[in-house]
Amino acid sequence: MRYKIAPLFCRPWTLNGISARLIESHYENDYGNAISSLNATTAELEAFDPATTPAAVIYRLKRDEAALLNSTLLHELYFASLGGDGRTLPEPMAQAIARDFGSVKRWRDEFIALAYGLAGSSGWILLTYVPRDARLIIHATAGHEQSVAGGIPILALDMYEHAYHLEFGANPAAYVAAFMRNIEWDTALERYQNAVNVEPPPRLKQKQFADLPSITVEEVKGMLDSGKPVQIIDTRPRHYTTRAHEIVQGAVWRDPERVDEWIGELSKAEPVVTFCVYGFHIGCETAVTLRKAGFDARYMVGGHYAWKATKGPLTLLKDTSSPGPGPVMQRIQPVELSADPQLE
Amino acid sequence: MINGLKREELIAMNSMILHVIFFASLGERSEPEGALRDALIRDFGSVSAWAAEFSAMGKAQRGGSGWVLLTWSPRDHRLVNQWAMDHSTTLAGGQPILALDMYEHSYHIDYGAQAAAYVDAFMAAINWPSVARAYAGVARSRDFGLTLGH
Repeated sequence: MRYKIAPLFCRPWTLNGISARLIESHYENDYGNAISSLNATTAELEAFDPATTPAAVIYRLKRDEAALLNSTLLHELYFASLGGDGRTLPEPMAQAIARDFGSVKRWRDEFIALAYGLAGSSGWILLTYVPRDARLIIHATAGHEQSVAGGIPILALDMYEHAYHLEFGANPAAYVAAFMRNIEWDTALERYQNAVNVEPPPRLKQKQFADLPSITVEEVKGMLDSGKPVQIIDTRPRHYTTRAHEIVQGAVWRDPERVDEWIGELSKAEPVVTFCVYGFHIGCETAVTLRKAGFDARYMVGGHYAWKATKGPLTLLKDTSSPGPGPVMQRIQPVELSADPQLE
Repeated sequence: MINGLKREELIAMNSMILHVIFFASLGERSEPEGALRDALIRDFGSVSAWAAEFSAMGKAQRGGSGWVLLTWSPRDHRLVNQWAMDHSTTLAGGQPILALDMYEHSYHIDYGAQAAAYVDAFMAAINWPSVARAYAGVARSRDFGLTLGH
């Protein structure tokens, strides 16, 4: 594989306050060097014999390859970020930025402030679309090789000093202001509209429970915090609870294999949330059973561990040894956070 | 939050220290002499072999940012050339005595992208008497006292 050089996207003579000389030096020396070094590294990578090459050598080459490839890509994006008037955001672009940053002004202030943070050093300021959360973020990188996993940069500001020192010296603020005056928003929008078509990494899907209503740990926490009544049933398998020490605060444990024995404790007037260890089967099946019996039941996505992983409050798990019908069972009270001293 | 602040503190502190050494490294044309010259020959083979490695390390950093440092390693009682990025990746326990600033701010105004010309100019302008004083100050330092039987 040999990487081919891309022509300059922006027209240097049209830029406002950024000289053609600066762009020419940047394109020729830094972007050009990235391409030629990348090709040299690629040639070395193609030539080495995995059987005899020390692992450290391979690692070094792959590190160089990642940094040089990113340098190439980000320089191309940088040159493609210039050439506009910086002011006119196409409506869909302005809407997306306002959605994710509050307002275009807020975005602008944040972008510029972050750029100042790299003054006198080196790195990139990037506006990146993150498919996982379907939103734009601004982030800085300290070198070429850092990036947001799966993120798609749509606007790049080069804060390596080669990008400005020739003309702006030790005055990065003037350079950043000049960059902002030259942003080409039309092509940024094009890249954004391409980026939003990228699917996020696939999430767990369980076809058999596709129609079953679910609830997230965040939503359950929100119900507890706002004092909404909810009946939370921990249905981790009995064999699991014998070695578990803790339980979601506000939940009671009930044996998922003996639903018939405790279903009578539940109220149909309040929502029911069930969950198991990881959120695969048992919590879902219990919710199905309860719904069939007429309860407003849903399963908590990710189960006990998602609750723990989001630092949800826990309490000591006790008395799972003798759940059964009869006097041991008490009616499950809807949890109201403020009313329960244990939850304070 | 606290680690973010401490990271910035370390970077700024090292940037300050290394810039001081950088400015102290520059002066009138001179040659390494005496104990420093002997140490360069002992640890690199010859003064020119040291210079070849040091300047090559500088030129290899063009278009990026970082330092090339001639550093005394108390552990091994020897001088080493080391690369440092982000002002902070310095040899543990090492004492830098000569510093070449390869951040682009140190040369872009005068040399543009011609990093090699800047490195050559630096090599010709090393203030060896100043470096020798720094060497004399650190070469007495012992290792961490962790060596078995020390």
